[in-house]
Parts: sequence; C-alpha cells; structure tokens
Amino acid sequence: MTARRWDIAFGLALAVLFAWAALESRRWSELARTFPMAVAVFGLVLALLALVLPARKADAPEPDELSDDVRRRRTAAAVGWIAAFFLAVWALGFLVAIPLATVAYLRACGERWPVTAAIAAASWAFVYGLFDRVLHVPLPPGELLRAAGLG
Amino acid sequence: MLEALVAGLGQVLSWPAIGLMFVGIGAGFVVGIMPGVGGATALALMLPFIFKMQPAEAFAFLLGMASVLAMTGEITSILFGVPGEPVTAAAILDGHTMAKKGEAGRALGAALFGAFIGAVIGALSLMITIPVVQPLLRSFGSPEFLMFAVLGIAFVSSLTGISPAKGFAVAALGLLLSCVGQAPGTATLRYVFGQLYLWEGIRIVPATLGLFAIPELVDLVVHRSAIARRDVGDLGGVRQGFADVLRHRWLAVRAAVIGVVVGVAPGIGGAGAQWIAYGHAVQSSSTPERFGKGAVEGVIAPAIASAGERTSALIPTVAFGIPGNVSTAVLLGAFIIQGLVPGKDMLEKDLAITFAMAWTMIIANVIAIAICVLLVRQLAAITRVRGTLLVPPLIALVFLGAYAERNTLFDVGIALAFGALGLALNALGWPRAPLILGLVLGGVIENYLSLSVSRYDYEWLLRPGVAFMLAAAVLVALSPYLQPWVRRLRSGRAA
Repeated sequence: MTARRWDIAFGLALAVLFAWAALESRRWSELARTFPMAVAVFGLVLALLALVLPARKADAPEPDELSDDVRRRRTAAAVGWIAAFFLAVWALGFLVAIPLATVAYLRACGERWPVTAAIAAASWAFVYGLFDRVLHVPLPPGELLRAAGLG
Repeated sequence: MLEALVAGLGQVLSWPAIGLMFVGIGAGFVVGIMPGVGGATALALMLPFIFKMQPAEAFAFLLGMASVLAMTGEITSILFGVPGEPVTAAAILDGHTMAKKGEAGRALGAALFGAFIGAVIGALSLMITIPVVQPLLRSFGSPEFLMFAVLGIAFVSSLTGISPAKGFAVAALGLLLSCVGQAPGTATLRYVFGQLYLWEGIRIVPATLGLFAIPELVDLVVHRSAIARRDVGDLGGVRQGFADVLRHRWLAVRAAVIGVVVGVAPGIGGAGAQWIAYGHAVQSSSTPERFGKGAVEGVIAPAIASAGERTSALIPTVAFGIPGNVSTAVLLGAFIIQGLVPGKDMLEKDLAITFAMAWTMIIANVIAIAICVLLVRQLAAITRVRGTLLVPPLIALVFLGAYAERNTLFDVGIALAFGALGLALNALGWPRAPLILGLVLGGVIENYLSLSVSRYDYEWLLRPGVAFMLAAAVLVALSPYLQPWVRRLRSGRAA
C-alpha cells in the first residue's frame, strides 16, 4: 500500500471512530453527552476534511542511509523488543525483568559481557535503590512469580 | 511593602532555610530526571518532612525542589526524547532534533537559560502583581478561561504539521480521549468498555511518555547509532544556547507572558502553557517551516512559558487559595500544615512569607542553572554513547515512569498504546502535539463550558473578551489557508 493510501486509511479510521463516539454518546444524559458529542461531530467533519483539503508542501525528508526494507524490519524488531520488555515486566516484575531483559537485548545486539553485565547491574541498582528503597513505589512481583508463590 | 520584600529575602538566606533549599534542589534534580514521578508527586512525598519546619524553611525546601524539577525534566526531553515531566514534552520536537544534529549543548543551554528567565519573570510577576491581582482576576470568568484554552488548541493545531485540518482532527481525538471515564458532575461512565481502570480516565503521564518517548526509542533501535548522528566539534555549545535566548528576547518576553497568564488561569497548567507558547513561536516566525527540525525558538518558548507558569501559578494560590496547577494544589496542603491562610492574610499579615516564596524560586533557579551549566558538557556527551547501550535503560525509564504515578501496569499498557499511535502519526505525517494538548485541556474545556452555560446560558459568547478570543481563534485556525491568498493579493498590488 502506498503512503497516500495509508494516509487515507488512517483518516477514514479516525472518521469511523468519531462517528462511533457520537452514536455511543446519544444514550447518556444531556450533561454527560454534550461535550463528547460536540467533539465527535467536529472530529468527524475534520477527519474527512483532512482527506480532501490541501496540505502545506512537505519538505524533502532528511537523507537516510537505510532502505525502506531495512527500516521496516528494524522497526518491527524494535516494537518486538519493547513488547518483550513489557511481557517480562508483567511476568517477572520490574526487579527481575529489567536486568534480565537488558542482558537479553544487549547480547542480541552483540555487546560484550562486561558492558552487558555493568549496564544490567546499574539498571537493577537504579530501579531497586531509587524506586523501591527511596521512593517506596510498590513494584509488582510479576504474575509468574506470584503464581509460583515467590511474589 | 519594601520592608516585607527585604524581610522575605532575609528569611530565605537565613540558616537553616538556605540549607534546606539545597536539599530540595538536590532532590528536585534526581526526581526531575525520572519520568512519571512528577512535580506534584514529589512535593506530596515531601510534605511529611515539613511538619516541624518554620514556614520560610518549609517553602525554601519545597519550592527549591519544585523550581528545579521541570528544569531538569528538560534535560531528558532534549537528550533522549523522554519527557522528564509532562510539562517538558514540547522540548522534544525541536530540542531532541537538535541533539540528534549534535547540538545538544546548545539546546540544553537555550532550555535551561529559558527556564531560568521564565521562572524569574514568573516570580517577579508574583511580587509585582500582588496589589492588583485581586481585581484583575475577578474580571475574568469561566467563559474567558474557556476561550483561552480554545485559543491554545487553535494555535497548536493549525501551526504544527503540514495540514491544519489534520492538526485539528488530532486535537479532536485528544479532546475525545479526555472524555474517557466518569463524566464530571454525573455518574455516567463514558467510553470505559466495562473496565474499572478507565473510570478515572486516561492519565497524562503515560500518554505523554508513550506518544513522544516510544517513537524516539524505536528510532534509536532502527538507526543503531548514537543519539547525535552528526559529529560536531563543539559538543557543548551552551553559551550559544544562552545567546539564542538573548537573540530571541522578544519571543522570550511573549512566551513568559503566556506562561504567567496560563499560570494565573486555574486548571490549564504547564503542559498547556508550553504548547501554546510553541504554537505562538511557530506562528510569529518568518520561517515556520524550520520548526520540528531543530529550530532553537521551539526550545526557548516552551521552556520559558512552562517555567513562568510554574511560578505564577502561585499567584491565585496565595491570593485566593485557588491552585493554578496540581503542584500548587499540593502546596496548598503545605500552607495548611504551616497554619497559613491563603487570601488577605498572605497579602498583608504574612506578606514577608509570600515574598520569601518568590525569592526562593529566583535563588533556586540561579543555583540550579549554575549546577546544570557545570554539568552540561558531561550531560551532552551522553548523546555520543552508542544507542544500543541506551535502549534498555530508556525502556525501563519509560515503563517505570508510566507505572509510578498510580502504581498500575495498565498505565504501562496505555503508554504502549499511545506509543503505537505516536509511531503511526509520525509515519503518516499527522502531528502529535495537538493530541496531547487536547487530552490535557479536554477536562478544563468541558468544565468551563459547563460552568459558562449554566451561569450565563449562551450569552457568554457575547462577552467582549470571549468575542475577541473567539475571533482570534478562528483567524489562527484559518490563517494557513488565508496566507497564500493574502500573499497573492500583496504581490498583485506590488505588480
């Protein structure tokens, strides 16, 4: 799909969202629905206008040494790593997941063990020292550890 | 009054107040660099420590911390694209772009000096406006505050990105997202999908972190390079940043005025002030196309407005007991702990303490900027570290920042959802700033709209201030479409 088609698809998705939001608001009391309905109707009109009104001329993109294919692959990998960090935090909690995921990421990127270990240890010290000990933020133990009776 | 001014300065410089101010500044540095643990949270955490302090000592400690919180928040926004505080998110657009171009020192210098100027102007306005603030504030009602918020959205939506219609559509999305949760004044639940978590609505901190920091993180992974992709000889450039602020002194003054006015208007807050100032910087520039690509004015205006807002928010707090933002709402708790009554007493009997608060903010900012300048070269050097090494700590920082405000992993999920939205908006050329401004101002606009209609019916639209600001908002909204027509008209006349 070309960039223009993605743009149109996004604009239409926004328009559908606004239309749904306006319909959904009909069943609320007047006080509760006035603002969201007004915003949704304006939003619907604006999303459709955005598809037809002219845009200012965009500047040429900055020169980039990466091909579209490489960029797409690396973006997918980046999103995958961020999702993996989140899953690790959910399953193991911040205190275990952050150093573990840090080691996994840095080794996958080809970093040497001393550097990897130092950054993982510093990350753990930062999370534990500042958030747990100083600020007393109640960090979750992680669902897996909780299920195993370790949390 | 002069006596109180001198007495206030004496209170701040006396021991142990000055020592406690240094403790507060130290704590502010640490907390400011961490996303999520915002100014209000940090102030609330420190309240138990002030019970045994004298008023001047307590405010030296608390305001010393509050003064440097956002100043240091600018550092993470510029260096990593991770907003240390929601009020420093605007610095990412141009500040982080400058860091990528190897101008981190210049951007930091401009942001820090700008924040200093904003804080000083805000504190001076607190000192100067005390005699006139009451009648001035009373002439403003909810319709004027509503229009001020609408004007802010018009500025940012029409002037960021390549299509004003896209900007307004994204702002409408932000306003719609602000409706999620329990409707104000009713028990109606809006767009919550049966989720208890959504009853309280979408929080600004995870939304801001996701929308701005996650796309920058992805960019860092994609390019596998240091944040600074261009090698330049002088990594510092902090003096150039200072000079930039002086060179754009009239923009600095206007941004400070925006900050002060927003600070006095309850509810809009620093997150709104920075974007309104950013929009104004774009609108008043003869080369608006440079914004978003490393224009130093895009760093200066938000930094000044945000700092000005922070200090001037004390004006309605001191004068009426109406907090201008969340942090001053927590400070109001400190007033009560200290047995101080906002209002007439603070403007007469306890005037020296009011002045001591203003002095604290000026002195704390002088100290903070001196420390930042000493460290800025080291801080800017971080942008030369391999990107791979920064990715895991930055992901941890974003997750912890999103989590720490309410201690729920749902907020991390919200940050991820906004991150995905930010990536899509970036890739398709839709602006991100109006979305966050809509989310920030949605509650304020709905509240003021409801108050205006219930109090004045629809006659509020006829108030002179409202009519003026409405006309200005329409003009700003249409200006990108009118500009080519005006240009053609002018060139036709010249021919």
